[in-house]
Amino acid sequence: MNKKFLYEYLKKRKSALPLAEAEKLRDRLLTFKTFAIDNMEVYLGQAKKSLEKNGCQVYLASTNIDALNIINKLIAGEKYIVKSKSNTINKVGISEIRAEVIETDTGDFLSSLAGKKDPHPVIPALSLTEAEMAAAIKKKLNVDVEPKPEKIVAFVRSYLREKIKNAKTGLTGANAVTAEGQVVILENEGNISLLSHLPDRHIVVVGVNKIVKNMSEANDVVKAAAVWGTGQDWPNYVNVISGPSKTGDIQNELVFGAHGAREVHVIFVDAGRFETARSPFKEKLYCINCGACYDCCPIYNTSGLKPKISDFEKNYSCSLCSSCTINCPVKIDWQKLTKMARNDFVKDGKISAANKKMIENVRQYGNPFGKQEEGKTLKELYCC
Amino acid sequence: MSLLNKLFSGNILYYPGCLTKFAGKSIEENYKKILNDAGVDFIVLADLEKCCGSPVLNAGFFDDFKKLAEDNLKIFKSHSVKKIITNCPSCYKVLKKDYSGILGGSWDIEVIHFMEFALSAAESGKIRLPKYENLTVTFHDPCHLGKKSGIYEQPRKLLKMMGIELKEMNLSKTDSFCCGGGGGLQTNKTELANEVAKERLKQAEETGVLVLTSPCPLCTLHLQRNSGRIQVCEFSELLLGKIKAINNNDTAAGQMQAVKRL
Repeated sequence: MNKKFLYEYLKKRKSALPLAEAEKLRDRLLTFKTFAIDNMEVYLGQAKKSLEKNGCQVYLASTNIDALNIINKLIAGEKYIVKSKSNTINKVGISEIRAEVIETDTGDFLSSLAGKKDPHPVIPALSLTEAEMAAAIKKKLNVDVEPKPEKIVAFVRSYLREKIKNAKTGLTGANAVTAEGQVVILENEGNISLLSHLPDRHIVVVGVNKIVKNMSEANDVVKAAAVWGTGQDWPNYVNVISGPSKTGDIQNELVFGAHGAREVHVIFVDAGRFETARSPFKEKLYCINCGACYDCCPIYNTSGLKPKISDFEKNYSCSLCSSCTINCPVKIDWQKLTKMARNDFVKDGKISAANKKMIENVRQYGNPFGKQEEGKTLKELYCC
Repeated sequence: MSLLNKLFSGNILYYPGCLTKFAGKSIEENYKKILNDAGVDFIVLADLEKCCGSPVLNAGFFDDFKKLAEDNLKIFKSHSVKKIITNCPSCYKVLKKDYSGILGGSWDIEVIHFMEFALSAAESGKIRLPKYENLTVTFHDPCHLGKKSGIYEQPRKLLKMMGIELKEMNLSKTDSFCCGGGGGLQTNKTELANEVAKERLKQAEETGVLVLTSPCPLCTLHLQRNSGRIQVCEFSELLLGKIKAINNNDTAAGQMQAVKRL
């Protein structure tokens, strides 16, 4: 386990935002995210109207496949596109995009070279050593790079700048979209600023649950994502995009495509989010993808396994310790959700052998261990 | 207490919880002894009471949990229980929080954890705590007692009152790292649970202390089973003066301590 990372993260986070302030921010986030999810349809309508007024093209993809089809249609004929880090796009399915997808987040880029699947949500290359990174660069791109952080970063910078400059399409996610028509994307590296400005076309793929009311709320999302995501008090860059670049400098005639992107496409993805919003699991949609839950998770830290509510095996790979909940900037009660999902598994008759034994003992003997011989040592600790 | 008083004020129940009853007999005896030493007039219900429902709730059997809560309420009421003292953090959290959630207003029994009881009994002079010299320990916050119930300070104050030096782990209190034993992990994913316990014990070793204590039967048993160098003792052993520090000059660090059970 990378203990140093966790110790430092917690220390940085606490100094980035004192506890009292952090609690106030958590309360605000929970309040407005709850409202946003309860009014997702209204916010979506408002956001669509506002963005279109600014010259964006707006889509609602009902499924991940619909989102893929929209992207593939837009980028038809392009050899490659450049992409920033986005869990939403990962879910949409990068492998189905009909062009080479070049990751531009340094960690994602290196992870993709090394063929790493399911990396850390915020620091994708956390589990790769410098030597492994240099080896992956040598293997995939046949370039010798000294296995030192600054040398690797310098190589990635020069290699990707060239790629971004020549790309037709930049593909990004978004941390928030406001109902008033702003797409808000935070970053430290500067790759998002580049790939949302330099290529002709900027495609934003964002879950419908990321819409908030206005920039004041988006500001809170940015702050929380920085503090809980990496322990910074503010990210290096916050990109606020409300439309394609334009100028009226020539005889007062409006022309799109000045220095920045010529087209901005915003694809809102439903993919079950509206259904979730109406279900007892709606809290899941409050998530701002900061990754603090996994940073502090004992299971993820020791085994690399990410507990997951909807997956039977990964759900029961959770000790319900509450670390994720206590570290969630939106106060999502992950234990409650995990137990509710377990209840659904039980109702569907999906019960593990250990739990079957436990519940039979409780029903028959009133305790989880059953009839016990005096002085016998218990092997299985069914509690608690 | 006179019978008449008892009728009005009700009984105090010591509820050890299933794990303490079945796997930690000595822990149960320890806590009963402390209650007796403090002159508490308490009852025990042994097989008459049922599992609080913690493993049942955590495994997703919500209907069974509700039934257990209703059954226990009936059993407690038929024995005029007004107050429950438990040493088990999981039972504490379930009886205190989840029972009122599922039973609503009909659940009016006061629930306290043994750490709360022990601290107030020690402060008011009802129990005399042993005094330790040269004993340094590290403390593991049980998830159900700390993160889920907010009880962090009572055991730490008790350690201080006993003259025990506490070396905190990097991850303690709200940042505490789970032992891996709870939530059904120990039985459903045994290897994973052991891996987490070994990691937690490594964090304990970082403090340079060789004794870890925790007021939870599950954390204690689960950590003991995975322990190498670290000696894991249940908090009641300290409260009863059952641990003795022995200076072990053979260890490389020189300062490291071992303990023996008396």
